[in-house]
Amino acid sequence: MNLKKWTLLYILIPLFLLVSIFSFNFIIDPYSITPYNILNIPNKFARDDR
Amino acid sequence: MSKAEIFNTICTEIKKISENDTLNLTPETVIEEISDWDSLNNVDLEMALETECKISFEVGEFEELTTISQMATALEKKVN
Amino acid sequence: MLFNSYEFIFLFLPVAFGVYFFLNAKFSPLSAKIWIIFASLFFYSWWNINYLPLITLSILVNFFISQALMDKPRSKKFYLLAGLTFNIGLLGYFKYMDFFIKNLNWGFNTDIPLLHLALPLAISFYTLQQIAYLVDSYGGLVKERNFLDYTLFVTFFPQLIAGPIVHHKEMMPQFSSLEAKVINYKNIATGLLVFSIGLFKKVVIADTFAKWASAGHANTEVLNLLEAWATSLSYTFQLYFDFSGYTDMAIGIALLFNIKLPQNFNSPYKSTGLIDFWQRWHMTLTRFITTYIYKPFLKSLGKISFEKAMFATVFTMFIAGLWHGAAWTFVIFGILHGLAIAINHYWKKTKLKLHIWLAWFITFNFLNLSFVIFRAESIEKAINIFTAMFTGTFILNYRWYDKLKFLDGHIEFGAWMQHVQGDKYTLLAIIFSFILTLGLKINSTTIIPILQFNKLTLFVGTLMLTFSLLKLHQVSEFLYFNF
Repeated sequence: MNLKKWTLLYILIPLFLLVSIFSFNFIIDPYSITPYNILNIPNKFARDDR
Repeated sequence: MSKAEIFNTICTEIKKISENDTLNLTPETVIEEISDWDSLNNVDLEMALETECKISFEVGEFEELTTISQMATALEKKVN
Repeated sequence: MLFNSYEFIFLFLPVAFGVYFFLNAKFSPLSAKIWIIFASLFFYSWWNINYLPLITLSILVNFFISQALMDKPRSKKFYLLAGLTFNIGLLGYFKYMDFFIKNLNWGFNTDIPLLHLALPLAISFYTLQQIAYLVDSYGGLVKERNFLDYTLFVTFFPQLIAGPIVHHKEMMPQFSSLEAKVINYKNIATGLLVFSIGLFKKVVIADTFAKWASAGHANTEVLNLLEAWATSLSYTFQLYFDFSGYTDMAIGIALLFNIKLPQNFNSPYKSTGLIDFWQRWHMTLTRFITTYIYKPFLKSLGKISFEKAMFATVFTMFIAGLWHGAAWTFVIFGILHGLAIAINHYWKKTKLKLHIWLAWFITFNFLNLSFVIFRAESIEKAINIFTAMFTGTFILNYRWYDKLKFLDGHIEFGAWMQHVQGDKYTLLAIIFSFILTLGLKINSTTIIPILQFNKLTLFVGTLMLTFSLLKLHQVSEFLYFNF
């Protein structure tokens, strides 16, 4: 792997992962913080032991 | 003093200070890498050289000299 | 702005970096230099803009005194004294005045009101760096006299807040050289990796320990024996991972700009003696105090002798202790370390050899105990922790009762980590940290020349970076900002 490609990947991979994780949290959000809950996870289930 | 004499003086002093006659010292030897060398040894060496060669180092000057040959060059300039 | 904050990582750093190389390529190195000075001062002012005039004043006064000193060698003694008075006066006023007044009030039963000055950020660091420049210009050792390079040497944001304490002779030539002006992918790749290691050390390891250490130091009166050890060990590891993590981040960021900062840590907890320890721990501070305090002081005592050298050692470490903060705990910390170094020198003279593991064991325990004093809010609280460490009740986790029933009657079972807000993970984290600090052959500095940029390093590096970035939600400050 050449250095330029390595460096670019090094910056893009964490960015991609972070954006995915945060947007994933946002749209399946079972805690009703956002208006979305696309997988329809029931609130009670997610908050069970809190 | 010639450069060779200065080099020998430095080596003698280092051996005296580290109490180790078997050290193998070359002009490229890095002082800090001598086994068991510490900051106290370094002041000892600086002051021994000042007395031997009748010169004086400024604050921070001695620290810039990392190898024996650098030390010898600096001393040569000061002595002559 | 903290290195471990989203605004630094996603806004400040990319902008500072992008504009710097853009200006270098499209305009001139001069404009890029001015940009990075501006960015550094912006970075500094982010916390509190009120201290911007102070650092500016300090830079201007120091620079002009040093220049005057070099231009007028006949009155150089006067300028040196004026400069030292200015620097030590500034530091003394902002950092030590209240401590002084408190002791005065206590000693003479007076009631002088305290000033309650907030410590200007980084003052301890930038004052030391400038004293070195001043003293070196007195000794005729200064070669670089460009004002912008000087300003950048003091303010360069990676090292501005908490070191490494850089020396002008290693920094100013780098700023004036042209090599730093073009993008270098090897430096960027290395910098990113070293930064990730530092960020991981800080937000994942140090911040985990911080919770337990703070809880323990807040509840010193009620700790049991294991809690007291958990408190002290947590802080010992927190301090190392926090400060060395910060240094790694600084070194990594500087590398993005093609600047090499000096090494500051070399696996210090592997030390087998106190002399060894100070050659591996906060190495740039050791370098400064050896050159500018210890040696001149020892030389001023006249003909050198072992006793005088040991006296100078204790004195220097006393100053080093006080440099860390204006409190008696720091003074005691410094003197203890000074005495321990003196004992180490004396032991060396006897030519007796300890077994390496025994030497390590003594050293590490001394460090762990001394860091209790270093962290404690008062001497009484430190004594509370010591008492608990050696005479506290030994309580084991009640959950282990079933398995360890045979110990019933000999050992108490109960809430074993409650006062440090810990659990079995505290124990695991401590064991894990021992392995990390002692078991690895490499560290974040020695790894640099042998780094391979392949899939493995890409995977490990991005994993550490992503994980740390996710943990950034709760941002905490670096310990060394307070010193």
